[in-house]
Amino acid sequence: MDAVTASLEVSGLAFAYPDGHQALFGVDFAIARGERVALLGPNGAGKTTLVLHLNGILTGGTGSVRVAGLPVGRQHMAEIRRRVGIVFQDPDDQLFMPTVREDVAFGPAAAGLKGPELEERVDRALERVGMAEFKDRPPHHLSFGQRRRVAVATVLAMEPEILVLDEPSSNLDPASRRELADILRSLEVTVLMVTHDLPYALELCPRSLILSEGVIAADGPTGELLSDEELMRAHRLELPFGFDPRSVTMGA
Amino acid sequence: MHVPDGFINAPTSAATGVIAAGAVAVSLRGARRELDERTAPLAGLVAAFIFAVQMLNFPVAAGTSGHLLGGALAAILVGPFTGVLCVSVVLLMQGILFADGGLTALGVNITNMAIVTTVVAYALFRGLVKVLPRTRRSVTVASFVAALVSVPAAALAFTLMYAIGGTTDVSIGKVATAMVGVHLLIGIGEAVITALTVGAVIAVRPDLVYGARGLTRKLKLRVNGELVDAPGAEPEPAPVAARTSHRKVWAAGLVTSLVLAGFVSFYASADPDGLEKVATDHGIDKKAEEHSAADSPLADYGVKDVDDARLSGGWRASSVWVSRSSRAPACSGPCAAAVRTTRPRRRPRARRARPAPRASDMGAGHAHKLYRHGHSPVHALPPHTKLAAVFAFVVVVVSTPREAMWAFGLYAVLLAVVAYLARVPAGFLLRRLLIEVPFVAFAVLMPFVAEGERVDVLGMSLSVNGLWGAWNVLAKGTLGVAASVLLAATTELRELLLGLQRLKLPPLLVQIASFMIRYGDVITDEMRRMRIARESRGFEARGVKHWGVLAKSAGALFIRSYERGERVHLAMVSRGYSGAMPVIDEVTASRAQWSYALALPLSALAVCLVGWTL
Ligand SMILES: Nc1ncnc2c1ncn2[C@@H]1O[C@H](COP(=O)(O)OP(=O)(O)OP(=O)(O)O)[C@@H](O)[C@H]1O
Ligand SMILES: [Mg+2]
Repeated sequence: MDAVTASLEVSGLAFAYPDGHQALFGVDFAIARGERVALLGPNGAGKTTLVLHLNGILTGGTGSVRVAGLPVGRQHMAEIRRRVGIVFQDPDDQLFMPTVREDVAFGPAAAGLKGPELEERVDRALERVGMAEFKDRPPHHLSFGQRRRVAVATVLAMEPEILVLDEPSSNLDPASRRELADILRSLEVTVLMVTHDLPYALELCPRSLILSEGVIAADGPTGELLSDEELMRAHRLELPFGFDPRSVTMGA
Repeated sequence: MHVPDGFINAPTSAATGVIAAGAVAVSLRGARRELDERTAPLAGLVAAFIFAVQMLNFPVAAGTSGHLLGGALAAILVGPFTGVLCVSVVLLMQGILFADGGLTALGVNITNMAIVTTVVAYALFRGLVKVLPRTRRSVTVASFVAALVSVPAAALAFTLMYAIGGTTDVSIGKVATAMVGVHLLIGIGEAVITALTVGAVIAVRPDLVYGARGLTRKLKLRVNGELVDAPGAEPEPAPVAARTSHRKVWAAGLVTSLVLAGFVSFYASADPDGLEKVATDHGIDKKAEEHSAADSPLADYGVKDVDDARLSGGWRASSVWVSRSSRAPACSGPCAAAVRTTRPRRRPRARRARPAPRASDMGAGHAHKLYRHGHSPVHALPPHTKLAAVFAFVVVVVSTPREAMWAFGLYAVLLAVVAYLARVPAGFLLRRLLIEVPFVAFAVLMPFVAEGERVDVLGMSLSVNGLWGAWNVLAKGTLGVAASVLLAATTELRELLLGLQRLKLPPLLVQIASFMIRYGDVITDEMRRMRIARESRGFEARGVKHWGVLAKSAGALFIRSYERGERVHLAMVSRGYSGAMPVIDEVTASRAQWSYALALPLSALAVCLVGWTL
């Protein structure tokens, strides 16, 4: 892949947490603009850790991350954080303001939006995730799935170029799960989606990466990876009972 | 123990207010230097942790249990500046949201419980860590000593304030003796728990223990089978305290003097009269507890049956009161609440079975327990006008001469009018006033222990001065609590924060408070889950020998809180935060609204002035 047009490029990334536990052991991959890619891997593989490197939240390891050609580092941080929107695994971490409205407004307001323009942005984002009527509720009074949707709205409100989602479908009911897929499909952005939900990955992402024990173990079309039984078993990936990736026709 | 309004006279309260404000300002700067733009989320989460840990019960024996005050722990874990900030925010919120501790006594409370404990503990801790060998065990030992001394130090500071601005004549020697003596005992509990908790944190995340920075090793990374040094994120700034070379001498001096003071007074008070544990008057205690089982004002902390579920009601209502058996005063120290007596074996079932709906929140977001939803004219007033009015009102009340009894009656009428306008039912207000119960007990003791002229009432010899003192504390304290309760009952949490922001409280402080409130119940919830996890594996804390396990939980809770603070910060940063919160909402008040709100303190002022001239 051409490094110049790559939306996201990670090379040789290794990282250890302050307690000495090493989570990444040299990760390499690149994602082109507009691609939707799933990041698969067993628990503890380092997926969240990798995600946190994509907008410079975790630093201090070796290797490099580039976003649209910009190295993730001190000097481009503001720019990079505007371009990369991350939806975290735990919505409680993401929703830190006293009301849903203020939370969704936080990003755009920090970027300088004000008044009716800000309100409109907030309304649009909440509308998209179907949470408009919860505008004035405190986030912790929402159910987990509702919090997850608001968390997605907080990021959508920032209109990022690259959307990174850490297990977005967990704890969503089937309808919300499908609605989220519709939202993601309707966006013209690069998507990297961490998930344990393999059918969801197949449905949404033409390409997948498998992260295992801190390195990229496989990279290819989602359907092919999921059909490779040996590969799947080697990395503790299991399809739901009765699901056959070969029989699915993709509409992506 | 949170000192209520009227306990310390107005000038001294004002002076301590200035001290507290100055110290908080210095801490804001200091914390910013250490944590830069992470200050708000991290300090907010640590404040929520301190709030939660003050509710973690450590059973002592026979139904007695204690809880952490947390000043020393905060200082050691997050450093003196952040420590002062966190404990101050906890006290501020307790005062405003739960009417716990008088608004005019905020300076006294912050000085004692946030500043003295933290600073003394940290100075000692650093001193000891430098003197002792560089091992983790030394850190634990230093934590023990620092926490041990910090509690009587706060008691001493309280005594000093009482000597300067106490409203009743009680022999200061006796106050000091009893205060420091008993708080030394309390300090032992604080010390053991603090040391164990610090030990638990240092075992897992040594890098998080502020006081022990420099004891960590360099990180290694394995890349392609080879070990390389991690380049590391930005180097942590060296702890400020570590730079001064006089510190050792200073700290050593401090230890010696404080330990001496502590021990001397301890032995002095252990004479044949002995220290006598006068638990809160049982009648009063019982009343408060039964109440908490039902619909207690004390349950407003909404702690969902944390640890042993007694907290909501028990933790303030039944402090230990100590006096010398003859006439020495009971000491409501800044810290007396640290140990509470409970009647043994009455606790389990009934209490656990408390109706679950109570488990709403300690108030995050829009509903805190004192708040009563409504649309009255008082509800509609902008929050900052209400805050200003209540504060001014309490100042006026505290400044009124205690002899003008009728004036207090008029103040009560004024509050009744407000309550009527706000459609806060009298029953609700009166029930909320029970928060004051410990001070009723204190007031009851005053006439017996105060000095000076005595009168005979029903065959008992009572001090005239003490009677006045009791009246003074009761009247002013009650009015203070009532005013705060009215404020909290008519103002949503979110609004209160906006009001504080509007009143030009430093934005950082408001943000810390806001994070504390947002995450307060997330953290108490984590604490509850940990307890359930412990108990479902057959563990129940019954005595001192189980402190280790509880302290490990406290340690784990700290790590979780701190890490959550880090994650929240990351989430903020991911959305473009760079140190200043964007202003999304602002409140404004018209002139009419201001005059409406200020009608309360202005009428009170008129009453007060008449009181002085008569
Ligand atoms: N803050 C931390 N400190 C130390 N180690 C950590 C920390 N966070 C994660 N780890 C460790 O790093 C490894 C990778 O964790 P990570 O959270 O990236 O996994 P993951 O692939 O996202 O897993 P999951 O599917 O369960 O979310 C794990 O072994 C984990 O224990
Ligand atoms: Mg993860």
